[in-house]
Amino acid sequence: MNVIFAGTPDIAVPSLEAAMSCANVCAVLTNPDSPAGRGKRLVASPIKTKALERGIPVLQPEKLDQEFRNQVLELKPDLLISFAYGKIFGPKTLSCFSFGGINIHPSLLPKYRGPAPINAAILNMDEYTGISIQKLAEEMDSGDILLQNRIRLNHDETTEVLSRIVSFISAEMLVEVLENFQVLSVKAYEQKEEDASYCHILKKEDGLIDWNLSSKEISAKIRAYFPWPGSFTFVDSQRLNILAADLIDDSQLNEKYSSEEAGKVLEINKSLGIIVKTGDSLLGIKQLQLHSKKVLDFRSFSNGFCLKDKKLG
Amino acid sequence: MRSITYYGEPVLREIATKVEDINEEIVALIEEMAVSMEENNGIGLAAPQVGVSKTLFITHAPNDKLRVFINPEILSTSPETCLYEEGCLSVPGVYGKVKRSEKISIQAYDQRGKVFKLDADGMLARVIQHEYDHLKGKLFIDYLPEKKVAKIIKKLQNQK
Ligand SMILES: [Zn+2]
Repeated sequence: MNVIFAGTPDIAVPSLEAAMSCANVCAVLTNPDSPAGRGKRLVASPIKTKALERGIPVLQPEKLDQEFRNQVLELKPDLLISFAYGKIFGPKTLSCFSFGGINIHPSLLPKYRGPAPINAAILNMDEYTGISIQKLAEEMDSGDILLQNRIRLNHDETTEVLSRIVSFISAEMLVEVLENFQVLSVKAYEQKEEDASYCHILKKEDGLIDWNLSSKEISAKIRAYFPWPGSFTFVDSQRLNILAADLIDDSQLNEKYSSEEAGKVLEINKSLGIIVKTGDSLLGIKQLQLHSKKVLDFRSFSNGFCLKDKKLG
Repeated sequence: MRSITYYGEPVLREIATKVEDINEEIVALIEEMAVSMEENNGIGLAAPQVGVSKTLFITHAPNDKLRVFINPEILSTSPETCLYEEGCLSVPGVYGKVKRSEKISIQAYDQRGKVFKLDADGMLARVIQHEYDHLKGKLFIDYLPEKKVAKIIKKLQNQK
């Protein structure tokens, strides 16, 4: 089977390698190199880097226009595989592929259609999330499901960690789909439209912490937004980024501070971290960063800046 | 859904026999086992635990998907071990620390009849070793100190 693999970030790299192990990847489609770092040097996507390393031709069109489609048609591809590519495929593009296209989406579709499903599952403290391999349809993330697997969540994972796990399980699932493509295509089932939910592109300002929420909700947010867009609060009107925090399972301590105001820093505890009062209990900040300063663990941070008795928010 | 067999039932002590043919019956058994496992919040379930003495188990470890292991063979285990508290759906209410290899390599067939090899560590490696033991008629309490086991057995008999 001749396939074109469309993807851009790290999460798609194991799937590209999986596709290469059981199909002929005749080209890779990825976003144009983007400026990064201080010098705004153009940087290739992780998928482009992997493709070049493996000697696969790379296509980086700005637009999926007729010129692009002519290039694709010359390759006589059977299947388009997309995973976090960054552009939407129209019917004219899909018709260049004899079997159409499939897409890997890291959620239990029809739940969390859209661009940030991994963050959403952590933020909402779901018991399970999952990965769906769907047929590419005109409406985003509404294609028939070829294969879906659930992933049990541990409620301590960050988006960074879960993305890595998703990248490997997706690769395994893609092999299963490619090896059983005819059977799974026939058995593919429609999504239940009435159960559909959507997630949106995250913005930096979404990371503001509301200390009146429960400790579990705040912890979920910090994990869901790590490493991007990050969570933050304010201290003395300076922005303070919170990179990691742990729940505190100490009923005596919770009792002691039960009447304090949400957002107040109560103590700097050697093992539990910088203890903050939340809407229902306590949270121990473990890693933090004052605006435009270095990221520090709570001990080093507290050597230079004492947060005790400050009110965050 | 299949009901769970509990400590004391002979099937848990039998050596399971090979699955000769991965047919519709086996696929249906796997589906029912998956429901039983999830309903009971288990992270692994072996066929003897639903009264079927066949070499087959499933796992659903944290941060992992559901995995099916038919006629598994553990190919290698790491010399590094770790101690961690285990429980078992067939021995309800009992927990105890068991030493297991940190990493293992296993080969098995999946529900489509395809052979695969998997290197596992962390919780998945632990669950696999626990379930693999079930196929040999072994339970996690067999690793616990004798005194503790005597107490557990007394407690389980009182529950009946
Ligand atoms: Zn067990």
